[in-house]
Amino acid sequence: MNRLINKTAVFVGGGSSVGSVALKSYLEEGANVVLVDIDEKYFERTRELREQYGPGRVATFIGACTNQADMDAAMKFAVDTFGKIDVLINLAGFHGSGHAEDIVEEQWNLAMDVTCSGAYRGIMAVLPYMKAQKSGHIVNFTSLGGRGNRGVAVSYAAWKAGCTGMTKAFAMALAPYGISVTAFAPGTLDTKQFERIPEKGSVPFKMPPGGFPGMPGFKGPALYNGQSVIKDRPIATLEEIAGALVYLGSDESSYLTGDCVDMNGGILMQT
Amino acid sequence: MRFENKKVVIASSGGSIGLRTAGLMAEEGACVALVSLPPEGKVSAQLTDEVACENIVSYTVSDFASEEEMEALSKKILEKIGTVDVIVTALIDKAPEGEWNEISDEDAHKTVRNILTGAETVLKFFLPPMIEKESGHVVIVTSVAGRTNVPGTPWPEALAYAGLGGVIRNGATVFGKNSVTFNGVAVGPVEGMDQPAYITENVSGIWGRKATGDDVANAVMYLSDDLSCWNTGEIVDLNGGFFAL
Repeated sequence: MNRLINKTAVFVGGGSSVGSVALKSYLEEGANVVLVDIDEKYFERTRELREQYGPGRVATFIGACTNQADMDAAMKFAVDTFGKIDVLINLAGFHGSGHAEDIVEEQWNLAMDVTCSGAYRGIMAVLPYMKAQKSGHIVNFTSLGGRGNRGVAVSYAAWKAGCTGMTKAFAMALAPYGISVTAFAPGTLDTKQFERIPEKGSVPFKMPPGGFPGMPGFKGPALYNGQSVIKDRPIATLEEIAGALVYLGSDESSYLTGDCVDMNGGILMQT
Repeated sequence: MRFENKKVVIASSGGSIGLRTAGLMAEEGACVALVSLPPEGKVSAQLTDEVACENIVSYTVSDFASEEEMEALSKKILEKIGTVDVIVTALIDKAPEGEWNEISDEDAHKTVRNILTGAETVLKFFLPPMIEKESGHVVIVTSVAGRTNVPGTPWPEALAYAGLGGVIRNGATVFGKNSVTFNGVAVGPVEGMDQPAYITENVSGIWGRKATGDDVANAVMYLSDDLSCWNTGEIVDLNGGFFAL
């Protein structure tokens, strides 16, 4: 359990369901972690875990990825607290509105600002530190919704795909500094262990009548193209997602860059 | 340990990928049967010198695509280790260089047989225990030459490595109902592998170095881990950022 020993990781959007479970995996593998999120309420999910490991291993920082100054301050805080940053995981995302005809301009822009530009700001903020140490792993948490034709909000699909494209460009730009940049694109996640915190200002996504193949609530035939091919496993557990984030944040994946690693129960290969 | 008590069969043409995957998995608690091509004793000696792990047993086959030979070997291995939790194939071959019409049918069939039919035959005899117990992971190491055009690639190699991608997706679809995952790692240049010049000279990722056997082994282990059991039909492109260029 030492795959991340002596590493420091920053999770932007660290109060999310994924960030909360990945925190446990990162701590168990030996990393120190800074969780960054927009409100203290997001950190409540991990209060017990953080108390168990203590401030010597895990810290929190209130800041928004929509604000470059916040991101700069968050990275400085991480370095001041733990001495360096080895791993940055950009987890923050915003769905925005649902169907094409329901798109609200403000939400389209906010989805871009959080999901794509937010990752950009995180990378720009961590860059001086990773450049100076000539190493680092940056992981952009994207989505199957940006990889294949899935039933997600148009704004979500657009900016998750944008973030995946940005990952490749950053991989090229940062390779001379020994920094790897990868994307991770999972399918639907089982987040029911956490109470959902509604997105601020988001119009809830509405499924069309009958739902979408591969999504919970689908009322179509039992067998269809586009569902998980694994028996009794329609969606991923958060622990599985955390396992991938450990691999991508560790030196085990140091040869991997510019790639988007998928985890979707075989859905993507059918799209 | 991540692979404690896991039974792993690795079919390798030889070189660092099979050797390092066996070594790292054994260090994580797996019991490994490493099957390689002749000369007999070569891999055993490398195991002693480079891996030094008691949890690995080495076997030699002359032809991975021989059903007769693989059937006999699978009986022998399954008798020893009891079952299989992970199957890894890392089979490579070099076709003669030349344009499409300069490669003889015989040479083309030999290359396809050694890469593609070899992997299929290994699966044929080691997959049944996984199907029966409804769990397991298959990881097929393939090549960047099966994922995109690499100048200079002889067509039988491009065909065979791309065919492995088809095996991965088909296996994922067919055996998902048995909770058996099929994934792949598509490699570029790798240290310690006897790869053709079109790979070592024409596939230059942005890292400016070859992958190590450990890089590939770690990707294989990520896909073989039980935490990857919702991961199927995927191919990790481990080419040092070649696709980002």
